[in-house]
Amino acid sequence: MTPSAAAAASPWWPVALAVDVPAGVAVPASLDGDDVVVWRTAKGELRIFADRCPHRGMRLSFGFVRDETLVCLYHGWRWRADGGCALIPAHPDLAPPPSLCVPSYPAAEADGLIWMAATIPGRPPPAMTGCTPLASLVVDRPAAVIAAAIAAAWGAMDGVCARLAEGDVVLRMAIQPVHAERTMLHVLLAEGDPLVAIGVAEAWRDRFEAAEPVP
Amino acid sequence: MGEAFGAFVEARLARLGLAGSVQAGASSAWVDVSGPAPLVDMLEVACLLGPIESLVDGVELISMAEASNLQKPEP
Repeated sequence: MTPSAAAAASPWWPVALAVDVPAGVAVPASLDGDDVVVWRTAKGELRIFADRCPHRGMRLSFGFVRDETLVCLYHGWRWRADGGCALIPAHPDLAPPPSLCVPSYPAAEADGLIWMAATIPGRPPPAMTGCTPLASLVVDRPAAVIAAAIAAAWGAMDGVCARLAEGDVVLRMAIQPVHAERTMLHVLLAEGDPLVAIGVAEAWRDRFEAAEPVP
Repeated sequence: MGEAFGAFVEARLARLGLAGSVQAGASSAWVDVSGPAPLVDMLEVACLLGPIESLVDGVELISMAEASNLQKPEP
């Protein structure tokens, strides 16, 4: 199943390894060309917002986390975890109206991966039970090309997830279509030595980049 | 100005939680707005920037009392 077809069946998409978004940190991500900011409050609550401050459009991923808010780098507007505006520094006595809010997306953390959905999903994210997150690898190929290459080598994908076995290494991969010409492979270790597994994953990344486009 | 400017201002009114309306003609626009001063100021700056389809030469902020003596632009 290609990722585009999988979208109809699986409302969750991987956007980061959980270990790459610790508490108090905001990182950028893209899904199908839509830019988002994945961040955690100081207490560790996970949130995914549109990567655009409603004030002047600055990327919120350039900002920083202060306690339970995400602060825009441009003018310091503070956004609560629920997306509402907590403070406009230039007007500290002003109660920001409820209409001032950042669009947010459903976010979930499971088995070392951070997942994002476009709308409220009806089921939990895919399970990667017993796996250890290894790395997120960028591949400058469309997700459909990678899915076809995986299907040719190991059979059809399970939604956005694939299982790769080579020698003593078994990997699980979750595919994130970043934009039309780029895909992120989130690699988890199911069996084997981690250092060997990274080499296997990077070798497959190189093969995916050399793969022919889907006709 | 026109339709693009009108839609732009209406979106900004909603985003800022301001009560108001916009009448946009080909070469000028009239925005009635009421609300907290800082938010009205933000709307003023937004109007000065305008959408990409519009080139805004200037914005004049006047009180409701002064406005009653002026003529709104043709739609």
